Formats: sequence, structure tokens, C-alpha cells
Amino acid sequence: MQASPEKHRVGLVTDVGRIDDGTFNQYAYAGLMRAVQEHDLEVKVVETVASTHYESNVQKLIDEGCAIIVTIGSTKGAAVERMAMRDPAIRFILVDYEPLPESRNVTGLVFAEDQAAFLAGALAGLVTQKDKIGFVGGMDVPPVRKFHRGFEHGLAYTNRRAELVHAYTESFTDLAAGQEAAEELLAQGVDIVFAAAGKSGGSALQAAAQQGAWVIGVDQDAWATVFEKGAAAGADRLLTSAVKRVDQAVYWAVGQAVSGKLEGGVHVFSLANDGVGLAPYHLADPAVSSEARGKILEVTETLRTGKVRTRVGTQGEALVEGFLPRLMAWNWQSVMIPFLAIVTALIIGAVFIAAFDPQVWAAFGTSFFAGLARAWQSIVQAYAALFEGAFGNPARIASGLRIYFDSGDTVLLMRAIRPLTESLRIATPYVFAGLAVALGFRCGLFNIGAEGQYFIGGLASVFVGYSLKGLPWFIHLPLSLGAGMLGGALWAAIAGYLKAKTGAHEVINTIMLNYIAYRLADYLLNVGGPMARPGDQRPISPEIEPSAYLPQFFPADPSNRLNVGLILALLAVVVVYWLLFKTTLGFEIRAVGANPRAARTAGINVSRNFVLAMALSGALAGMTGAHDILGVLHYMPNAFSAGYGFDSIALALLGKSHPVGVLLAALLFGFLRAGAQRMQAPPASVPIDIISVMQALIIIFVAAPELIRLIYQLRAPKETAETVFTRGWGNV
Amino acid sequence: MPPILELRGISKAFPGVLANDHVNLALEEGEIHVLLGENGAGKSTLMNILYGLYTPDEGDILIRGQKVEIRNPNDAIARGIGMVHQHFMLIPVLTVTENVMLGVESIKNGLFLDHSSAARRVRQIAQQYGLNVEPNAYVKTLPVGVQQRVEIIKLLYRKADILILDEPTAVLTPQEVDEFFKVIRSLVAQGKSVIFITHKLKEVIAIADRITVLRNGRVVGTTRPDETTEQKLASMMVGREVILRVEKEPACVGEQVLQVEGLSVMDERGNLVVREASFSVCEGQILGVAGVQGNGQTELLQALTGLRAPLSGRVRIMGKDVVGLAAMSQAELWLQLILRWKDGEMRRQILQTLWNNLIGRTVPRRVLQRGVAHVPEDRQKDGLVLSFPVMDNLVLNTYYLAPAARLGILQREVVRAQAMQCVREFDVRTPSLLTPVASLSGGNQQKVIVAREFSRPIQLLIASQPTRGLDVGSIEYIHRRIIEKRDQGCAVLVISSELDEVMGLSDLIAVMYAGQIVATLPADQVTKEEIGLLMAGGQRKEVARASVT
Repeated sequence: MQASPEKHRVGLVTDVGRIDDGTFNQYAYAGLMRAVQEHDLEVKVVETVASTHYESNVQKLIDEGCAIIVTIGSTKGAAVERMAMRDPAIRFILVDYEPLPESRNVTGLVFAEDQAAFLAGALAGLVTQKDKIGFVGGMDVPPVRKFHRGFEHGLAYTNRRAELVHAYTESFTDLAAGQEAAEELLAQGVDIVFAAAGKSGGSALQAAAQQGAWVIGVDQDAWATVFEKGAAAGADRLLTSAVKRVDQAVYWAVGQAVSGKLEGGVHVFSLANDGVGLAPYHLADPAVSSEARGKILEVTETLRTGKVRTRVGTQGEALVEGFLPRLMAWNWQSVMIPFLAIVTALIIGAVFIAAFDPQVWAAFGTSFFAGLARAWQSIVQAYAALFEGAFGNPARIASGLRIYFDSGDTVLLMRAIRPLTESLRIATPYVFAGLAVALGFRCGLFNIGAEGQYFIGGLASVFVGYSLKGLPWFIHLPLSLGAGMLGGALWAAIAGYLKAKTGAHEVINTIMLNYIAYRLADYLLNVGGPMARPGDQRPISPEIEPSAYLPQFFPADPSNRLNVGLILALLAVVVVYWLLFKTTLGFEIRAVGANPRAARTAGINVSRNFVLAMALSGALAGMTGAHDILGVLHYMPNAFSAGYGFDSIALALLGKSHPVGVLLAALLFGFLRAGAQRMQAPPASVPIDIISVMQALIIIFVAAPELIRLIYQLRAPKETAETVFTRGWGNV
Repeated sequence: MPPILELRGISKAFPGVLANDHVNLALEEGEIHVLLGENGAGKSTLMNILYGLYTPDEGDILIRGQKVEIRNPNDAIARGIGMVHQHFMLIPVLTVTENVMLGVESIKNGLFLDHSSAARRVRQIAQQYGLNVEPNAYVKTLPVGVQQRVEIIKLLYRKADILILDEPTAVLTPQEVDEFFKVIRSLVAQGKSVIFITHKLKEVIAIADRITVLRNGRVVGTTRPDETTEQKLASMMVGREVILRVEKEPACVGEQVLQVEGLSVMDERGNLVVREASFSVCEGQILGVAGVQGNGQTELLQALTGLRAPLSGRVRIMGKDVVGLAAMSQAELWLQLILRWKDGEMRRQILQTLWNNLIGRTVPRRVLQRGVAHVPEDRQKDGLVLSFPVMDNLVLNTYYLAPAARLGILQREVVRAQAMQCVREFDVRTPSLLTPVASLSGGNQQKVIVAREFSRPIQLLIASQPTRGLDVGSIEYIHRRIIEKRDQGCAVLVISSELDEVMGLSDLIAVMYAGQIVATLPADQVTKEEIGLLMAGGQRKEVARASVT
């Protein structure tokens, strides 16, 4: 058993070396001690003698009950991260290591090497006389690349003519290789050498300095390390060093950890938080002109504020100018495209509205401007009606509210919010239907048969609704709803089963099943049919029992048909979301949808998922039918169809097959439909079909984002994994 | 004299990365210039620029010292540049001549295709450059090596002087490679110039006049084969020292884990593609299956992993027949149950199979649950769900097991922790666990699969083309991991069309030709040439032929 971590005990494990060796170890120790004094902490320090002891040293600190452990060095970072997973109560601070962003108790302190190098490069560009500068790299690893590119870009920033030549030692420890690299560069005529190659680089610096070249160190102030505080030969040739302020970083991180504010993941130290910079010029001070100093201060400031970027990526790759704005545009596109699609559809719809208004043509007859004015007027009128029809008249809602608060009279308020409730009522079945198709899409199935499943669901629920009598509502209602879902599920499962067993494409099968469903309803409901209303001359079913009614929200106003179905619809959104993303079943469905071959290889039963997903999709479509019967109509007419079958596909596409997206799309359609009714009435008198045209346009634009990109000149996003809606014919 | 082709300071940026960074390249007339680099080093981008598929952001293209602009492949062809893509662009149902003349059809009498004169020219080109091809043969009937010649003839027919060959040897047997090199040499001897793209180091030394190495979009250096070694080239490519040879201790062989007896498998068209294959793999042993692609390896592997029902034969994993019983129909199973009721072990197995069928547990899953790890041939199609995050791909075949799931509900926290462990343990370079696996490099995608398969308790590892298309660094890593598994006592079956890989990894090599295991030999007692001969159907050719007809 190990001790539970004690709140104020902090541990430090050094990278191979001692705490006074002038490297990161010393700086980290200094930073830690500053934090220790400030926060009154207890410290345990373990110096690592050999890299093989590293992990056991960390374990030692864990066993001694340290609550915060600071480790130095990137090579063992992954091992420490693994250890950290076992002890979630302990905070780990890793210097120079980039943990996964998901790490909760591991914070990596990394440094913007590129910024430090950029400054060094800028300085080199100002100091050089031969316009030829050398870079000595260790191995081609990300931090070294960051130094290299950052230096290169900084150099180019202050001195366009200067040329950078490089030599890699392919080692961080080989002293001879460093010296060789320096000599090779000097032979090429460089007058400044910048080395990022560990000990090997140090020897390169010494060699170059002794031959009279200016040198620039990295990581720590080379004055203290390579040139032994000025004691070593060539110390007067040290221009500066591109330093990482490990002390600052550790001091900051420990302070945050003590106060419980330190977050996991990567924390970058850059110029903006004094995490990197240039070391003092030391003996080279007189060689740096005051203009150069001024320029460096200026560059520091522009880098700090982000006005100038180093154009170096996290792996040391060169970045393209303007990358960030582009990235942002790309991230926005998934939201922007549906939005722009709606806007575009509204604009084109406006053209139609104007074009189909005879008064506009008449006005054009008198003069062009009169025509334009009249067109504008009719568009505004139409859209005002659309808005009012969808949300209600704001003024009337306000006055309704006032009367309600003054006198408690709800009549006016109810009337004022009527358009809103009507929109929601219309949106409710859209939610179910949209979810049905979206769920199919997630499994790579194109359920075009929502319409047929809607019919079967309606038939089943109406049958249970009128045939069972004398049941209490809390039994009868769920039973009727369940019957509707079951009916739809079984109907859709037929297509799923056929696909799974014979490979028959679900699009064909569901279309055919639609026809069967229509004719079945014909047979059952036609006058004299098994489910027809006795003694009635219309092809409709009997009235369902009130015990099967979906309760209305406003029983006082029977004409307001907004009912509990809305709650069920919202619930369905949550359930579908939960099912798809939180359960193993949803995992299987999505895996099958995204890549059936890989799913099969991984042992997932693809056939079963086809049947299941189809059944679930059908259950939701059946629910749509049940809602319309139990919540709105209370009987079933033969002409039951409301076109959900195709609208639902549009909804799923518009909602990107995501439950929340479908909900938003359904609300949009609800508002458009409800608003259209008001638009149809005088004074706007716009044909209701305009709304269908606009819905169609929205779908076209969402389905063909290239059109929107073309219109608004958006850049195409980088190739990313798109949601698979469905696969082509016969591939599966 | 100026070089026939010169690229000066070519830069090409894609959103966020510089794919080519001021690349300079000069191709002399009559030279074989090898362009070497890892995947993603920028070779393809550069060649696509040259072929007019991309336009460079910066830099110039000069042909014979004259600056030219190449806007599309037609421009490129007009300037004498031709390219053979890694995946051939041939129409299988047309003849060689028809394929060659496609797009530059010669017309006679203003209306009709002039087949005969085209065929004559094809024959003439074939003779001139030693490209032995029958002009009237249908492409689908030709072996891959010959199809490649057709591609080259296509370029010569269009009077190309500069030939770009993209990974041309990836699909060839060692013997075909030799043949192919002869063709290339004869081309340059007659004044053509060749850019040869590859990442295979041995070939580079064998064929190149000059070598240019690309890394991270930049030219690392240009050298000659006599000035360099494979080792040096590898370090130039990767940027650090790499171990080219697979280093391993001798095998320590234990119990038989996988036993295959008389296994025959049909493909979906009903051709018998695996014939009576028998072999076994033991604990702590690596059996490598060598063979040119398309000799039944894919179907063999599918049969072993339960993805394809075998026609006949037996597959035993840890002594238990997993695949055979599962392939039986329900009625057959009941019949067998009655007939063999007395045999206790058999009864148990049949009952279990019936139960598995009932609950819909698929055969691949039953195989996986026997402690089998499967690294599929095509990682993107079979191994990963590309749109899923790294985290989900790491549990693609264990998501339903505790502790990753409880009562059918995914335990995201557990999955996250496991995934983190895997990512660290197997050094998967990903910005986050939630990054879609599609945006990782090929090597890291393969590491995701390896991490997933190796991190569960396994007795048998079946890996197909485990390093296809990967860079040198990743290959080295994956090989090391496979050896490590073997040393832990796992039985390993490796199927690869890279002969070097099979030779390097295996303790025992089985050569597959035309659906048969034609030989099984200890790896340290055969030469590459012998295996190559067997792979091409040599030595026991007659036997193989006889059984085909």
C-alpha cells in the first residue's frame, strides 16, 4: 500500500544529471524552489543517475506521497504518462513533453522553440557581415526542426540576402561530430553558427567560437553551460542563446497545481508568457549595435502580440501564411453551410414571390422603379407573414402577456402564441420522421419507406386505439403508441431482413413496401372494410377512445392541438442520441454504417445490425403515424399521407444525420410550414407551394455544398471524414 | 547542354503544410534518376506537378533549358512527359492495342479506327525496346508484369522522352523485377530519360544513375549509387539511423497453435483459389507465407479468420475447430449432433456452435475470442473505420466486453483510459484520442491496428501485409513488435508479398503459388532466388499446372 498523496509535498525527478548541472535540471529546480518558498511546500528531489532509473525514481516519489511531481525530459514522458494514469490523484508536471489533451492529471510544459529561434535568427541577420550563417542540428526531430525553421524564418525577416546553410550531426552526444559540423560550416564561409544539437551542439559552438565565428546557443544560456560562465575559450564570441525559461514554467505550473487550478494537457510557453526569449549578450554586448537591439525588441513585441508569426508548426513543419484564418473558416463550414443554404433559399424564394405576384408585373408596366418598389413591398409582406405565422406577432404576444399578468386572463395570450404552438405541433412528427431516416443513414441504410412505415404505424395504433375499450389511459395510451412503433418496426424490418439475407437493396424494397402499405390501408379502411367506421360513407376508421388520446397542453382550448407528443419527440431525440453514441448497439450501428467491411472483420454481426437499425428506424416512423392518430386526428382516414416519407429524408440530410441536427431541421420545417399558411392568406397571398420550393432549395444546397461554396466563395475544407449517408447500389 | 528536364525551386502548399519546399531536381538525358523518400515526403506531389495535375505555387519547370508551363496531363504528354501510375490505368476488357491507342486513336477513311496500323506500331515499339507484348492479347489475360509493359508502350506510343515511373516494382516478383530493370536500361540506352520513384533501397542501388532523396518536402541531397550505401540512404530518408535488418533471436518453438489441414477455399466467383493447403504454426514461431499477390493468400487468410467459409478442410486454433463447424448449416449441425452425440467433446462443440448461431455471434468474432489477433491486408478497408476517432478504433473488436461496456452501455472513461494506454505504449502519433483515424498517416493508422490487436491477450497473430505502404521507420517498429510477440510465445502467421519481409521475419517460409502451398522451408536454409523461383511457379511448376487444369 502506498501513502495517499499529501497535499503539500512536491517531488522533482531530474533528467539524467544533477540539479546544479546548468541544464534544465537546474532551471527547473530553481523554479520549483521559488514556488516552494512562496507556497510553503515540502520538497523531495531525486537526481537521476542513469536513464534506466528514471521510472523507479518517479515511483519513489509516488510512494513517498507527493501530491505534485515534476519530471524533466521528453524521452521518458510516455512512461510517466502511463504511470500517471494509475494515480489520478497525483498531479504530474512534465517539462518538455507533450501529453495527450485527454490527460487529466498530466500537464506538459512545452516551449515555443520556434519563437526563441526566430529571435535568434533575426539577431543573426542583423549581426552577420558575410550574409552566410550556419545551423548545426542534432537529429531531425520536431524540437530541432522547430529551431531550424524558426531560425531560418527569423533570419529572412531581418535580412533577405542572408543564406542559411546547415549540417546535421545525427547525434545529440557525439562531440567529434559537432566539431566536424562546425568546421564544415566554417569552411563554407559562415560567420555565425547556431547549434541545436545537445552536447554535440555545444562542442560545435566551442569549435566555431574558437575559430572566431559568432555563436548562438539553445535551451539554456550557453554562457553558463558551454562556456562555463566565461571561463571556457571562445566565451567572448557567444552572441546570445535562444532560451526556454524552464524555471518560469515550473514556477508557474507548481503554483497553479497548489491552488488546484492546473489543467491537464499541453501548456505552451512562448514570448506571450515569458516562456522563451534571448539570453543576455554577455561579452558580445558591444558588438550588438543599438539599432539591432531596437530591432530585436521590436521583433519580440510583434511576435508576442502575434502580428508576426514564425510560420512553424508543432512538428517543426513550415506553415503557410494565413493558415489560422483558413483553419477557422474550415471549422465553421459545417455550421455555415446549412445556414447559408437557408439564407440562399430565402433569397431565391423572394425572387419567386415577386415573380408570381401579378401586382408586381402591373407595377413594372408603369415604370421600372415602381416595379422594384412593389416587388420589395410584396417580398416584405410575404416574409413578415411567414414570420408572424411561424412565431406569432411580437406586439400581440407582449400585450397578451401584459393582460395575463394584470388580470390572469389567458385568452388573448393563448391566441397570440397560437402560431408558435402550431409550428411546434407541425414540427413534432417531423422530428420522429427525421430521426427515423437519420438512424438508418447512420447504419448506411437509405430508408426511403418512412411513408409506408408511417401508414402501418398509424393503422396499428388506430386499431388498438378504437378496439380496446374501458382501459385506463396510462395503459391504453402506451399500448397504442407501442402498437404504432411495433407496426412500423416490423414493416421496416422486412426490408432489413431481405437486405441482410439476400443483399436486396433497401431502397427498392422500402419503396415497394410503401405501395403495399398504401393498398393495405385502402383495403382495411375502405367503406365496408375490416377497419372502416361502421355506417359511415367515408373511408375512415372509427374514432379512437379518449383514453388513447395524447394529452393536449392546453385542454382549455381544444383547437390548439399541441400535445404531449412534443415531449415524446424531444425524448426521442435524447434516446436516439444516447443509443447511437453511448451504447454498444449504437457503436455497432455506426461502425456498420461507416465501414461494413471493417465492422465484419472486427466480428460485428452486420446482418443483424441491418435488421435492427431498419426496425428502429421503422419504429420511429411508426411513431410518427401514432402521433398523428393519437395526438391530432383521433381517427385514421384513408388519405393519411402527409408526405413525411420524403420530407424525412430532407430532414435527415439537413440535420447531418445527427439527432440534434434533425431536431433543428424539424423545427425549421415546422416554422416554414406554419408560416406558409399565414403567407397564403391575404394580404400576402403567396401560394403555399413557394414554401415547398424553398424547402427543396435548402435541401439542394445542403446536399450540394459545392454550390454554396461557389456562391459565397468559401474554400473547400480539407478532406475530412464525412458522415456516410448511404452506399451506392449493390456495393454492400 | 542543359538537362532534359529541370525543376527549379518548386514549392507547393496545401492548407497547413508545405508539401514541396523549394525543390530542385535536374534530369539529364539518358539518365535513370531515382526519387527516394518516405510516404508523405512529397514525391507524389512533385510528380503530379510535373504531370500537370497540380500547379506549383512557386518555381519553374524547364525542358531542355526552356521554361514551360504544364497545366494538365495533356500539356505534359505534348511535352514528351509520360507517367506510369502505381495503379495501372488499363481497361481489362480491351486488347493491348486498343488500350495503347485510347485517346490518340488513329482514324482511317475518316471514320474507322485504324487497328492494324496501330498494332503495327505497338509491335514495332515492343521490338525496339525489348518489351515483349502481343498487341492483340486482351489485357485482362496478361500477367501484371506484362501489363506494366503495356503501360510503358502507351507512353512510348505517345512519343514520351521523359518517363515517370511511380513505384513500378511494387507488384512484381523478384524475377519480374530483373526483367523490368532490363527494359528500363534498354529504354535509357536508346535515349529516353527516366524518373523512378520508390522507397525500396535495394532497387535504388541496382538501377539508379543518380539518386535524389526527399524528406519533409525538401531535397535532402542528391548522390550516386557508388557514393552511398543502403544504410546511408535510409538515414537520409528517415533523418536518423535505422536498422534495416530484422534482428531476432532464434525461435523457441512450443505447442502447435494453428493447424490447417487440407483447406480449400473458393472466391466469390466460384473459382477454387486455395487448394488443399496444410500447415501449422507453433508457439513462439513465425510462419511467413510468401507469394505473388493473387495466389490465394487473401482467401486463405479470410478462411482462417472466419470471414469466408471454407469449401473443405479443417482449421484448428488451439486444438479447436472454430471455422469448420460454423460453416455448417443449421440442419447439418442438428444432424451431426444426433450422429455424434456419444462423442462428448464434439457434442459440446456442436452445442456451443448452435448457441453462437442463435445469439448471432459471428464466426470472425468466435475466432477473435479464441485469442487470435488479426492485422488485415487492407488496413483502411478492413482494419479501421476511418471516420471514427482513434479511441473508438482502438476498441473496434472489444467494445462490447467488460470493462469497456457494461450492460450494453459504453464506458467512455474506461475506453479513454485504455486508448491512452495503447497510444502511449505503441507510440501512435495522434494529436488527440478524438482525432478521426483518417487524418493520421499510414504508419500511425497501422500502429492503431497493431495496438488494438496486440494489447489483448492473444495466442495467435495473423498479419497480412503488415507493413505495406509504410515508411522505413514504421516498418522497423512493426517488425520489432511482431518479433516481440513471438518471443512472448505467440504463434505468428505473416502473409506478405514483400519477399524481403517474409525472409527477414519468418522462422519458416511457406510459398504459395496458384492456391497451393508449394513448399515449406526453414528460413535460414533458403535463398531469396529459390523462393522467388517457387513464387513464380518454378521447380514444381508441372505439378501446379496439372492441378490447375
